Amino acid sequence: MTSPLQKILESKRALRRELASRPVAEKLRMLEVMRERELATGAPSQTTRNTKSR
Amino acid sequence: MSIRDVIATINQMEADGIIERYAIGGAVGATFYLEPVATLDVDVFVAFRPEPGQLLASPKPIFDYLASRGHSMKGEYMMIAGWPVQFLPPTGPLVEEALTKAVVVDVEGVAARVFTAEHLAAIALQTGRAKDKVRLLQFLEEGALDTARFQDIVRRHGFFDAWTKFERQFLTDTP
Repeated sequence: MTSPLQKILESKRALRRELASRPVAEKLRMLEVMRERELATGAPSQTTRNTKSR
Repeated sequence: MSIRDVIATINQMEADGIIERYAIGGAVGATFYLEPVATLDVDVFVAFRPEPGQLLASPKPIFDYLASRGHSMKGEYMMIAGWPVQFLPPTGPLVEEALTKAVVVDVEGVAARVFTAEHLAAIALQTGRAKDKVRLLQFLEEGALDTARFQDIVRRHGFFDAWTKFERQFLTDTP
């Protein structure tokens, strides 16, 4: 039987796959929005929390 | 604040002979294959041109070129279209190969050269920090990799033990 947690994880996985399948230009615009939000709120991204990403 | 404008500027640098070849890596590169991966900067790997009379390649022509077009420098970044852009030399054979094998992707009429998914994943394995492992798992879970191609890269560049350890740690039920 599928547990509620498994259902939640599967729905998150499905959302990530759906986002990944969107056109690159759209995804890059989403990055721009995410960055603007982070700069506006001062919330550090993963990039600034950790050592520089490659 | 447009990454497309960043790419167009870098294409122009390449067309003007300031850089020999570039490819986008890091989180922006990963976003070409995965869901958007939050980042505050753009990593651009470049083959630097040696200056006349110099044996060692230098990023100075890049900085001079961009500064002459009104782009400012912020620490080790050049600000282009509102984004901090870091120009990075290949740090070893794996990244050199990634630069050579990079693919061109159309971004609404602008050609962007980006590392292949398999090279981005192999670089994440090589780098090996927590967030790199997360990225590698994303590539795997989303089926974004040609597994045979990825394993060939990993084997040829001497990271097969690291891959085996990663598989054991994250991809099997029994540690």
